Amino acid sequence: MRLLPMTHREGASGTAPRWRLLPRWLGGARGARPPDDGADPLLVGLTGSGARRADALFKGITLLFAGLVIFLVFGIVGSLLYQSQEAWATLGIGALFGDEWLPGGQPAKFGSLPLVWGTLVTSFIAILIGVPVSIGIAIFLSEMAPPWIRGPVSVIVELLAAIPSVVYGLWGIFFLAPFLYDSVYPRLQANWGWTGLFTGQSTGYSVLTAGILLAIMIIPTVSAISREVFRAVPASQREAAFAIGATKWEVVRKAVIPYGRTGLFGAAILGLARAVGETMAVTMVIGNRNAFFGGLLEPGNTIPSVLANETYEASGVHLSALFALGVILFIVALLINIAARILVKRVLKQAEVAK
Amino acid sequence: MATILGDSGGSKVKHLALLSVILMAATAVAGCFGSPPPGEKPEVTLNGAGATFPAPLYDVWQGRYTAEVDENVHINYGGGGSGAGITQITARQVDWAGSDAPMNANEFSKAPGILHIPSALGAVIPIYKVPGVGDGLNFTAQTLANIFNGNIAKWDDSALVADNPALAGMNNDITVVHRSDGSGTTFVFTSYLYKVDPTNWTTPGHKNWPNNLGIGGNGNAGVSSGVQQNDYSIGYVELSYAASAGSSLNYGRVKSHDGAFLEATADSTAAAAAGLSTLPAGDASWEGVEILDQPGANAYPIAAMTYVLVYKTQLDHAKGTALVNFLWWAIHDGQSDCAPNGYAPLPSSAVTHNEATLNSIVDASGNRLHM
Repeated sequence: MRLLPMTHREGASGTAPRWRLLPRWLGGARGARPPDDGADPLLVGLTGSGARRADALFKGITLLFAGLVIFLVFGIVGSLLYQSQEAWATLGIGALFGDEWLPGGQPAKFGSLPLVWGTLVTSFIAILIGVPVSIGIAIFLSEMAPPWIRGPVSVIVELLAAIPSVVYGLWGIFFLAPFLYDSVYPRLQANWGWTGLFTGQSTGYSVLTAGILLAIMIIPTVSAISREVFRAVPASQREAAFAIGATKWEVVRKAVIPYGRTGLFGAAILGLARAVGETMAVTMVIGNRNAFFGGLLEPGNTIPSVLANETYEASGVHLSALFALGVILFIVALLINIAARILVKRVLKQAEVAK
Repeated sequence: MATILGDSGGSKVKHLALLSVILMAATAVAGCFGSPPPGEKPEVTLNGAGATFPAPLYDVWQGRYTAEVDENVHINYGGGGSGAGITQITARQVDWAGSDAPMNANEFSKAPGILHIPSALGAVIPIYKVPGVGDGLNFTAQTLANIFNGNIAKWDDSALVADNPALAGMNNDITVVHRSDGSGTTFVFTSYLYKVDPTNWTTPGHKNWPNNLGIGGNGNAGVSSGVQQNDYSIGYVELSYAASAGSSLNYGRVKSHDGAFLEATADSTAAAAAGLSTLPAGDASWEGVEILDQPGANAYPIAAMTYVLVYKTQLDHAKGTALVNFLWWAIHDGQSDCAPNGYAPLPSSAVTHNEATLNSIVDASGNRLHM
């Protein structure tokens, strides 16, 4: 039984890779009995108990890491539930799902529905704008761009991921919000006001601004994964499409994208996860108004934004209610994830049937 | 085999070299953590946490104290908000805490033996951006209460024009900018509105803004940029923030108790505390103590004290001594740092009161710590 497939390259060069010099119980080959055909034990795979032990060690370590992550998730949710007990007990589910969040009010209100709504709407806008743009970038980089562009452009796109959230927020305050307020929103209201989506415009700090900023923030994640997905499409698919006379756009649309559909959905879900959890950038441009908003150009608020703002100075029932918000956000994220996966399954099933 | 393992001789030397480098580095690092030579005073670190409003001032103090007075004492102030400061000092996780508001009855009962020591004065000022109008718009508690609760919706409302003829004809909506995070600034501002105009402002002072009007900004910086980015908007910030932000903001004047429209300066803020004659004992509850809307020709109405919270019984003798000496310096020499940083110094009556409080601090055996 071989630990690794025989690599002829190693045999040809005559030098063992350095890890083979480790003792057998660590997965190396030092002190191994030479195999029957007289080959060098450092150059071939292990046999027998050494191989089994190394395998078991490998399995144990990876199981430990996976278990650690699962334990962490449960631990975090568990501590959220523990800290929010007071809120569930004192306020009750009814109050926590009320329609206004006003901890300073008389009486204090801790209704989370407007915040849940704000979270859903901003994430939805982010996906609606960000995912097509990201897929477009991925298509450009994998299908259309000449090779000398691919490296620099992909580095620049990935640099977007390295920008801290606060810096995005500052850029949003000083550039994006005023720009949208002066140039874009008036046109939106004039031309598209009939949809009823674009009412309310007193400032540039609004739900739509936050959604656009979030879309920019999820571009690096979604485009990087999409590019990997497209790279995994076998050349045979593309060549076959070209061979029957498809144009570049048709090749992409009919051969590449359908092949990578599952991966693209996965990328979109990851982008959605980032958008739902994004805190600082959102809180700086969304206007922080904890009530239901009528139109997309009105200020609103999301759960992570409220948590970032109010946790510092909160105490007592307020702090407990904030932890309860954390639990609610977790449930919302879970539900979105489940809904997305059901949607993906249904779309894929339809595509299979259509074939 | 020899050719394949021929490198092992050289690699053994390499391994030995690496090992010796690691050992040397470890020794060097361990050397840094040795105890000081005998005869030198031990290093003391005082950890503090709490309100972010006085944080810039405490930053200056900690630098000056270690550099000028006692280089063996290191003072840290972690911020985190008044709520966090009170929680941590209640659990004795920090040596001192900062709070913008005195402890309420509930918090006071959970921290027996806590002392309140006012450390500096601050003020809250209204800021606005109205095209065509510069500094110096006049506001009263009534107009402020009605603007910030939505009753006054336009800049040319008759109540505003009565105090500011320049606003006549300005038929633009007012955009209210408030704090979205819990803050001592909001507490001071809403306490003032509730004290002077309870008819129009019906919620008592609170760290969290009590309505969902306009937009919220995170921190003084958030409110400031919210106002600067939006024409016809109004908000409120700390004087210390305005002092560092510079002339890009337009500040308003507020009507004092005696009827004059005053700007917030170190002098007018200090004048607000001049009438402080009866402060509670250091170890009593300070709930309800405030210096809002005080009588006096130059007394700015939206002024407040910020407090340092420490325990009367200091369990660690060295730390307790260092703490008492630092606070003694802070209420005397440290006050000269207040005005340049946008705060106001304590009046002498408060300093004398604090001296008595500091003199009451004892160690675990009951010995007075301040000599």
